[in-house]
Amino acid sequence: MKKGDKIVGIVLLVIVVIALGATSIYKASIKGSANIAVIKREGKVIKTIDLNKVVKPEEFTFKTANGHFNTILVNHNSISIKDADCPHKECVKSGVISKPGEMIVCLPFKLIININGQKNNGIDAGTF
Amino acid sequence: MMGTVVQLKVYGKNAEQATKKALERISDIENKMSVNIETSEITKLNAKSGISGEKLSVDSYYVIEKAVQYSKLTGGALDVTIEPIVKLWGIGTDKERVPSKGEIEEKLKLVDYKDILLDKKKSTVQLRGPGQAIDLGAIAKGYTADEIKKILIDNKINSALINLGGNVFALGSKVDGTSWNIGLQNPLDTRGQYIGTISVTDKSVVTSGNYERFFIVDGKRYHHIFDPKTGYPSEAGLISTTIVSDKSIDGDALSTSTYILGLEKGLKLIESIKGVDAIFITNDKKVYVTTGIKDDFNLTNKEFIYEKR
Repeated sequence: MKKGDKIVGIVLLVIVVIALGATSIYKASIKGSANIAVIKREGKVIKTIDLNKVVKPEEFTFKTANGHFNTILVNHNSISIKDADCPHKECVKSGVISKPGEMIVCLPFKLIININGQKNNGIDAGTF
Repeated sequence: MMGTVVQLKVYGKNAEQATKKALERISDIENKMSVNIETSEITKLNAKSGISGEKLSVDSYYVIEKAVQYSKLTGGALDVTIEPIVKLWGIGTDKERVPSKGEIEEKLKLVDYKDILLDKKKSTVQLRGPGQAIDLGAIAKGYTADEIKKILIDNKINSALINLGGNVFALGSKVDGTSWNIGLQNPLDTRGQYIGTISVTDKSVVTSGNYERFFIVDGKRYHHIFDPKTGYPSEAGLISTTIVSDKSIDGDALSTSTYILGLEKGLKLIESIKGVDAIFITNDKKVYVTTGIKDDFNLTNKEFIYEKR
């Protein structure tokens, strides 16, 4: 175990979505290595996909409790939200993500996809 | 503050506990300041406009006081009494639309920071006229970042990254002792595409951009940064303003105000404030960087032109 690995062991990454007063808390400890996409709704993991092992394109549709949907498209080493019936389709506009640390968020439906891992082009955070 | 993704990376032994406290503080501030929460202090204050004052918590009072200071400093470019205009356009809600000129003129009469009546002794704030209202959206995230930083330091955290919907506070340095690298969103590309990076230690990095919240009608794009003088989305030639500062509340207020002021006035303002730096991107893809951070900024996207200042 190298020194870097130990540091990763004590990292705590928390992602929270605050939308219209509702708060959901997401916790995921970063484990490095493979490109694992984690899909969560309101803090609960609804699917994890090892993007490395995806051979052919595949689609999944996840419905919210009141019938709304996000359709997720996975390819070898990449993932995106292909379609959704949220008002602004911000999640669809986010495009394709493929690198550890990248994230797609659908605020209205409280859905988050992020790719677990350690490095992101040497960039620690983005300002927008 | 509505609709923000909060991301905290906290390093150290007390990380879990510190993060828990930080999240509680975020909810606390949200509950006091959000105009989307019926019971918030700001909602109550707005409901009493033209009638009486509302007694506020130290948090809300401080943020409003700070907002008024920035209104004065920027000649009204930042004005938190913009709420009636924000509500009229409804950008980011299911009621968004382009209002008529008459409607905008009508609501614009209600926008004036000089009508915020502060009473520090009683910790009350009143809005002078009926219908006037405050929206702290341009400044509350910055305050929240500063408060989270305090909590983390109190919990002996000396390395953390706070990201409140693109408002970044880099606490200390990375665990290996090097600076944090913050990517600067490319205003013309999808989220996560950066034009370059800024390397910082113990700094707030806040960006205002026209690409973050907007809607399109007849091919024209209407974004969420309103010019308090016109009531329309600000079109001063800048598409993104990034402020690097010690306090995030300053960065938040200044990124919005310089966006509205435009390149020349914006640069002049930033250069007049000690310890504050900026990166401005114009709509013709020129990038202006103030002297304090020119060695820390690295432009990587070749489509953009670095203009030496």
